[in-house]
Amino acid sequence: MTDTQTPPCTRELPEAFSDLAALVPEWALPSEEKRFYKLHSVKLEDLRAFYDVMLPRLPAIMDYLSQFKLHDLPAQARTLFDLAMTFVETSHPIDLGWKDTDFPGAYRWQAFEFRSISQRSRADPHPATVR
Amino acid sequence: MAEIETKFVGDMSRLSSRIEMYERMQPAFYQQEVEKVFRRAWLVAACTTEIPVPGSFVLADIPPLKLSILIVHSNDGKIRAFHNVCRHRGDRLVHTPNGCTRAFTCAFHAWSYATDGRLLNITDASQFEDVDKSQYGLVPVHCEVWEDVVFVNLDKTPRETLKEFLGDMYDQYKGFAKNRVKIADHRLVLNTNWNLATNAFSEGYHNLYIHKNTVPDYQGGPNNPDRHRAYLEVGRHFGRYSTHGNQNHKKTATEEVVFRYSKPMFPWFPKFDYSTQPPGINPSRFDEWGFDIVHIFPNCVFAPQANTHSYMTFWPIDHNHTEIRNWRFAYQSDNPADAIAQAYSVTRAREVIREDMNTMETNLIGILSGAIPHTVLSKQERVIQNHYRAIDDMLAQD
Repeated sequence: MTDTQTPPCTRELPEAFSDLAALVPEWALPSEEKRFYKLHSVKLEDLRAFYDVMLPRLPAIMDYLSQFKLHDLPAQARTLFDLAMTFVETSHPIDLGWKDTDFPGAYRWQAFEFRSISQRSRADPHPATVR
Repeated sequence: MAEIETKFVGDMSRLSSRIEMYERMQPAFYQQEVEKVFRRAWLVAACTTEIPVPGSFVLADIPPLKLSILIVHSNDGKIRAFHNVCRHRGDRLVHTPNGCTRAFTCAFHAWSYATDGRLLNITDASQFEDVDKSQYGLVPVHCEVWEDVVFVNLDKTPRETLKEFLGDMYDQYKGFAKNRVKIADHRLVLNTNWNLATNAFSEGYHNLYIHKNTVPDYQGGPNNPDRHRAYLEVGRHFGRYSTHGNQNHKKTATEEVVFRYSKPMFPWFPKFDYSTQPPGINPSRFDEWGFDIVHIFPNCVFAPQANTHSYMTFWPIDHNHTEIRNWRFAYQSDNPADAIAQAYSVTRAREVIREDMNTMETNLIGILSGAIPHTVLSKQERVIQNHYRAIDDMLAQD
């Protein structure tokens, strides 16, 4: 897995979430675009395994991250943020009981192009503010 | 309990419930739409959140007119639009889709322009005869800022100001987008006609039927089994309606967690105090409000909600190809938990619009089959009726 974050860059999680460390290389992804392509490249059972680990931990993650500012996340919290973002954005097939990672009656996912904020992290500053 | 009856507002007398669609999908008809609708109407081209500071800029393609427009937050604070064309030999001036700069320099021969469009420098200037720099600034395009979007008008001299064009709705959304940030931006090209794409997002009749896999219970309720619109209004260049947010909506497991940490968002619409909202938001002040759909004629669907909103625009590339742009916004917050809840909401909505989009290509094929003489539209689809009334009004002008 070669996805990297823009700085600060670490693949470590805060200590209280070290039980989730094995998920980081595959699932801590920095943009909606990357998370969307991930959703459409995994098998439903792999998605369910990720979901089953993450859902019970989500309240603790939300509590932990709430002590920080979005644009000033310490490196380890930033990795946890990426992991939580991937979780909520890939939760729909499991939450909604789809029989696959995609569902009948949806326009083809391959047609989506991602731009602007959908190509970067919400935790990064707005690029148009840097001349 | 009696079913909710829609409160209808506006002049319905010139609407038709029978629309002959086959003719409208033909190339010759489309050419008229390009020249008399897209070249004359005010069009939603950019959002101001993309250009937050002086020097920031964004490109906006206008596919039906084959134009690239450069929209700039100038150093004097004013937002301006220009043809993205160098005055020297006519090459494209700016190639990056957005950014921030002190000046624009053409890659071809390095002519440079200020953020207000003035020509700053001609390279090797002594070799040019009789060139007055003040006459070679970027070519301006008419543009006006409305709330958090930039409208452009490609007519040489617009027939109406934006305020005249939008009519009553112009003043009714003042400040609604304050403290909102863009949270998603998607683009797709579909094999469909732009009218059909716009229509698919400007009626609520379909939502009971095609959204079963994504938001089975977000609208309606025991007193509104057919999910009638609470309110529906037509104006000269807009049509809008209010949806009924289901107060018995059952949250999914993930939704239940994320919305404990954030303000309510799609697809959950609990009652809230909109008394401080501008009058365009939930215009009839319906108690169990979900969200509004506002068709800004010709090709924009604007959807304000309590803590989010969106603009979708539908751009014809030709008579049977349409580019869809989907911009989504939510309340500003520096709490990472809010960003996570917003990401949940906006990606759930993304899956919903994939269901809407799935009708668009087969709808065109069906109409082009010639099998049906006209479409039949219900009262719940009057915003679509109003769309074709507005098209025909513009086509009838010289």
